[in-house]
Amino acid sequence: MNSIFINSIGVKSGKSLSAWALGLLFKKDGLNIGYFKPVGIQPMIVNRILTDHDVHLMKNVLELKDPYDMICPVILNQDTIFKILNRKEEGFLKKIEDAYKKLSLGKDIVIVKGGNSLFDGSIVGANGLTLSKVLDVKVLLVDRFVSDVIFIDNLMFIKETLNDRLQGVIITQVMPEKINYLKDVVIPFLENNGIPVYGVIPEDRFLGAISLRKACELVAGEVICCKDKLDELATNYVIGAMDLELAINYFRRINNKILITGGDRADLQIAAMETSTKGIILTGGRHPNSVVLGKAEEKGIPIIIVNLDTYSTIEKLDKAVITLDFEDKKKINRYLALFTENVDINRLKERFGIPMK
Amino acid sequence: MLKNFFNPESVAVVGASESKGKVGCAVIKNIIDFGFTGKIFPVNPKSKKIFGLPAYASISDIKDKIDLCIMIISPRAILESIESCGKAGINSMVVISAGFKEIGPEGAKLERELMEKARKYGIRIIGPNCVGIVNTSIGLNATFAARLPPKGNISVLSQSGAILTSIIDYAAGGNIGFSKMVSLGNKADITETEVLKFLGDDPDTDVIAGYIEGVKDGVEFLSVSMEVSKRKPIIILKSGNSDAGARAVSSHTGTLAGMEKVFKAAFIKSSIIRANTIEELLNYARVFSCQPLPKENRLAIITNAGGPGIIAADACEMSSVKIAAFSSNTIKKLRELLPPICSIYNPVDVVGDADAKRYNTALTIVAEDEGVDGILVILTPQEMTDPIGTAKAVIDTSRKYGKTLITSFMGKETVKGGVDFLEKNAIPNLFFPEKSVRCFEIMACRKKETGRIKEEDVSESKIIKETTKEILNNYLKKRIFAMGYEDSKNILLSYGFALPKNAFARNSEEAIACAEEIGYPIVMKVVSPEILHKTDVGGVAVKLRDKEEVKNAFEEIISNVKKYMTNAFIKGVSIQEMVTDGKEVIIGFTRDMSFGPMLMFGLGGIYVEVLKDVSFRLCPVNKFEANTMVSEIKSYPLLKGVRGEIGSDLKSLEDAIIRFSHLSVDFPEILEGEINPLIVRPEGKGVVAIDSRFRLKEDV
Repeated sequence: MNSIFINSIGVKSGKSLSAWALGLLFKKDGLNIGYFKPVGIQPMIVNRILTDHDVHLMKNVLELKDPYDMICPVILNQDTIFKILNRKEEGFLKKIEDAYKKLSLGKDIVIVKGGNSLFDGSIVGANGLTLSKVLDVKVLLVDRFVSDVIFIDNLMFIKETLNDRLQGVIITQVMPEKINYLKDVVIPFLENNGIPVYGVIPEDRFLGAISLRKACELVAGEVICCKDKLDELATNYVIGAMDLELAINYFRRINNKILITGGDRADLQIAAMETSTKGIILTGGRHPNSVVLGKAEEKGIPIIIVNLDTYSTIEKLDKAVITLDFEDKKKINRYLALFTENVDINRLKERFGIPMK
Repeated sequence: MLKNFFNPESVAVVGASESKGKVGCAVIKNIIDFGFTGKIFPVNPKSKKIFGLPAYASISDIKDKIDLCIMIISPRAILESIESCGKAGINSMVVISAGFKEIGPEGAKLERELMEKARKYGIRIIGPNCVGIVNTSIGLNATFAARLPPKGNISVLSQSGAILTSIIDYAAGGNIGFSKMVSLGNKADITETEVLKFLGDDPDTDVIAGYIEGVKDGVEFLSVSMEVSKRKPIIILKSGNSDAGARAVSSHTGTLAGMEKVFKAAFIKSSIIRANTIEELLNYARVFSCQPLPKENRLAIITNAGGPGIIAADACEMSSVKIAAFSSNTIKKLRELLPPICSIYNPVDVVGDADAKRYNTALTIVAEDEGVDGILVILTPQEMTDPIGTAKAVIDTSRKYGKTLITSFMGKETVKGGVDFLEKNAIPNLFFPEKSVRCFEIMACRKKETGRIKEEDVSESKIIKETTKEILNNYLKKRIFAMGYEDSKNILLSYGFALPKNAFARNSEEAIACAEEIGYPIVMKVVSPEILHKTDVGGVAVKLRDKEEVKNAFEEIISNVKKYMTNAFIKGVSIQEMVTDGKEVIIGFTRDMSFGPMLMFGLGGIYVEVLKDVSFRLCPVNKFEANTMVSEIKSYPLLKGVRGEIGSDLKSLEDAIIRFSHLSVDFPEILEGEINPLIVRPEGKGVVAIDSRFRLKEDV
């Protein structure tokens, strides 16, 4: 039985989506899969059981039979953190080891999911570096490419630390303009230095999209029309404060946007509705006039009224942690397509010793 | 298509009523009172007769053919009766009723349903929420305006019902005549474009006047108005040109007002005459409706008072109107036949005691001068003045010589008789001389415009579209939507643009090799998809003269860029030969949602950025438009050459403008494009594209 320990150097790199994608692909191959999250950092209660948000999602979407506490033996909730900091609880690593052993029984492959980064879990003595040794699992890094030197620096450092335990990387969220450079220059360098690269997944704004419903919750807004369109996904925010001419040129370039503007700017509201817009947030508690409202109804664009000013609205939206949810089937399907197209799954399976079909 | 609207042989009025104060009463009464010659069917389930006519309970009770249906019932009731209208064979409907899109979401929903049903039954709709329509030649006043204007040859279309009723009231009892009048309302179906086309073909319409707040189908509107304005003057007043106005339009109609510069360019392209006020709209319409176009723009002024004459002369000077220079023969005759006290040069001052005879003498002599294309006759009420007699003299001159004649009989009570007489005899009178001059100017411009042979928009250089198509497809496939110079230079080449010698270098070694190959001095620019404004971040180095300078510049550019954006992805640098003998200009295009691509031109640097000295034209741009868009900018003299310097190669510049405009039309997937700078070298040496960027349309 082999495992893939999915981890990353940076945060928001696409680990959850990659874990989900791999899980689905392995299941499709007829493999008996397990999912293990050593340390849960997003506590939630499910049927009176304390577990982790990510675990709850994966248990359902991958139809896992293992119990919650076996999948995620350590949850960093408020109580546990208190105990740790006051030195009132220990033995986390053993707990993790035991749970992993039990979960692995009878499985063809276990996907082990790390925290936000390799350093997560240090507080309980169970960060990514430690766990890979203790559980004897090989690491697959899923990381974003921002710039060459930083990226290579980080990877080579981890390689030095993990050695052969680092079995490679999938590079995600790559700007299309950088792809050729990555493939022609950076990847050959990494491969030559013993770091296999299984794939380059291009940037896709859709994957970081937020639903109108979620946006409305974040800003505590009131929806005044098109409530049936709240599950639509927006990938960009645009502030409408400029003059109309600039607005039109700008709005045309930004698709699937949420416009944030004042209720008195009928011209900007109409301009946004004539371009690709998923929702409009009107600040300062001001409602649009009825003609504009009629147009929004016609176009199926929800209008949300908030009492905040523009800056506060953007702040709230920006700070949102975009976590995957059950409703994100569109995202996983899209990512699955990108994943299958751009990742050499067979090479990955070979390197991690995963049975072929 | 709109024949049944304007020339129906039968009209059904659904919601007709005898109750005073109701719209249904006003409309049916107007149709009856103003002498409509066809059959009238009032429809009202509560009445047996309306104003003596048998009333019907519903459309389906009418056995006769119904050409036109006027709806004045509630929106829901209209929806319920569409089916019976369809079955009755009605294909033309004017919906006067309000309560649709203009009231909000509920109304918008009703309007959508109305259109769905109308389409299903093949019914065309004017409105909803409109004032109605008028055709004076058949006495059809299907509006609730209180009066019917006199019959004439001006037709009006208006997006504002209130403006239309105001014009009707203004005209009624006056001397301005109309043929067709249309209130467009919410424009749910029939828009100004279709009405324009109809009026263009209408034999009773010689002049088209319109008030609009926005145009949805800009490209179609342009095409129709270009065609119609070849045959008839189209005068348009467009509102919503200011920021506040634009907001008001959006609030009022739920549509965009459209940018001022776009409409300006649209009017230039389609030769539409622009009115800036309601007064101008009516004044221009009036002069076009009754006066012949002048041969050229040479105006003679005859006045009985110095002051107004000077005002008129000043107005000429400030416009494109020329104060006609009289021939020596004319001067001789004026000297012989007018009292010595009169001024015989243009303006001709016949002085305060001029009677009709003296005016007549001056008029006759001036009208005979071949160097005079039009005459403005100013009359101020003095003791000896004979407004009616003078009016007769004007009328006779007009009939005899066929020149453009406009009067400014200044005053009200004393001159009333003369003004009425003039206007009844097709001589337009405006109180203000400067406004009369403006009207003459408009007419002279129209003459010039119609006389101009429409230029082709063909470039002299070869264009290879396939190369551009391939490049664009490649970028779109990779989902790269921003293209810099390195990405787009082959597009420029395929559209006939010359480029400076250039090369791409990934590091300083390659940069030096490229520079040696190209030859010094060179320009170096950073190539990075994340840096849009290279100069602003220190990403450009010019006049590099040797290896050392190239190497240092490379380091400096990279360092500058990193300071601005630490993790910027720098592909490398582009090395270009430095072109020094020319003037920098910018040509760029954006896309208007309604009218499509629009080209901008201006001199580079502060001229565009600070002084905003730019011109605009809608694409494709033809030779004439390219020529005028270059010559109309204030800094044009700099291109022509000042203080003895050789002028720029304007011919090549104009051709470049034409080609670039074609690029915008050929490839709608390019959202925006700009060549900045384009160096215009001295005459005969062509133009060179130094830098460019394009933005592609991202699919949703």
